[in-house]
Amino acid sequence: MAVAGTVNGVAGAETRRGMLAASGWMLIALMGLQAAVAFVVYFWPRKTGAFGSVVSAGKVADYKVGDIKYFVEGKFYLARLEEGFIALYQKCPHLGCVVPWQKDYVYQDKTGWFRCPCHGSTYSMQGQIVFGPAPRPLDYMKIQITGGSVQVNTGLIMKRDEWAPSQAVSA
Amino acid sequence: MASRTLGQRPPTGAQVWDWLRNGRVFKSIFRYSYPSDRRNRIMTVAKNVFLHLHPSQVPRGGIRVTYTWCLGGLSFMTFLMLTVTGVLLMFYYVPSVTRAYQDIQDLETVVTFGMLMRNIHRWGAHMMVITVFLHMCRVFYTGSYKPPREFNWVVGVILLVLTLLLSFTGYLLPWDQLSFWAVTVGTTIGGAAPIIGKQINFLLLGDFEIGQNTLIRWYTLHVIALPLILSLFLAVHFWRVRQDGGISQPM
Repeated sequence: MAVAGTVNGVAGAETRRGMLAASGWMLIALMGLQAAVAFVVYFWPRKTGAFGSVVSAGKVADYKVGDIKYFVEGKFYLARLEEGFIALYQKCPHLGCVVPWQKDYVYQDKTGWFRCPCHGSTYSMQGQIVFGPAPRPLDYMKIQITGGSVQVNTGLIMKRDEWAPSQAVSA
Repeated sequence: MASRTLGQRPPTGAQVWDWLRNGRVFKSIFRYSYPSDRRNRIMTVAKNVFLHLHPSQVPRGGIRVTYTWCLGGLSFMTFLMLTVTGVLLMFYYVPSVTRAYQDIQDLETVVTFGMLMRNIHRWGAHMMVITVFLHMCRVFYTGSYKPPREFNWVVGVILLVLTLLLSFTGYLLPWDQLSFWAVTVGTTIGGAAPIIGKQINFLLLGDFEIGQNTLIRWYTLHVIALPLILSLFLAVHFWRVRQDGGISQPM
């Protein structure tokens, strides 16, 4: 219950002086809050390295089917498949080595494979594991194509049990 | 003495000392006499900015070495030592991913006394964590955390956390494999926090993964922010010892 002479427990708040004092304190509290928010915002990094953010990977027209381009900063390979584009995360799902694209490596009468130098895990252009100890295909990143340019979100890395055409983003 | 004329004997050492000791300059700095009696001994301690941190009189039981083991004092002295050696290291260390590792190698091999300063800083850091921990053990086992000293125990816990944070932020600075992965693991643990884990991880690293942004962040925390906050809480800690009736005593 309201105590005589108080509003919300603030003594004298129902008088003009009390109201002004309460408003003043509220303003000061608001400024404090503003400073606290600004403090966090100031430390929120806006200029970051490529990996983790959205990386521009060029125009759709720059790629023809069968092309593979490596983005060192973004840590991914962009492969142009028949079904569309797939961005493959460079990290081997076995023990984390960087998997290079071996364009001259021949296996099962086909030339050009991703092959891990650590334990020989071998992946197709789609990232599908065909040989070696890796437990699953290469992880892939979310792609968005807007206005003919390919945007790869290196912060969204997805796992999969096996390659499926639905994983490619059509141009 | 200023009016000494030619042909007079030069003043003796005692006269010079007496002139200095009772001169206006000396009297303006020290406003008490030589601490040869009880009153002046208390004044010596109480009126000196450095000595007044310590009480002019302490209970006999409280200063027994086997009671306190000097652990609080050791922690403080280690902190001072770390501050001095840390400032010295700052003259040669540049917190840049391209230079940091080489700068530490240079401190070890090229800089005169660099290896000594670095190792005092490194071992001192280990020692501070140990002495702070043992100090808390001592306070616990002697029951010195009990009222009226319970708030000072809380301040002590804050100081422990700050010590650990200083230790961990300093760990990144050599920028070797150990630092790099320790901080990667540490910030990933922070990233496991519910709901805002990802954001915490992003703020701690200053990027999506460990890099230059992380190094400068942790460096600034290590050399400025955390030592300042720790000093503030140290002042409160010492002041509270006095406010709560001085050092606790054996039962």
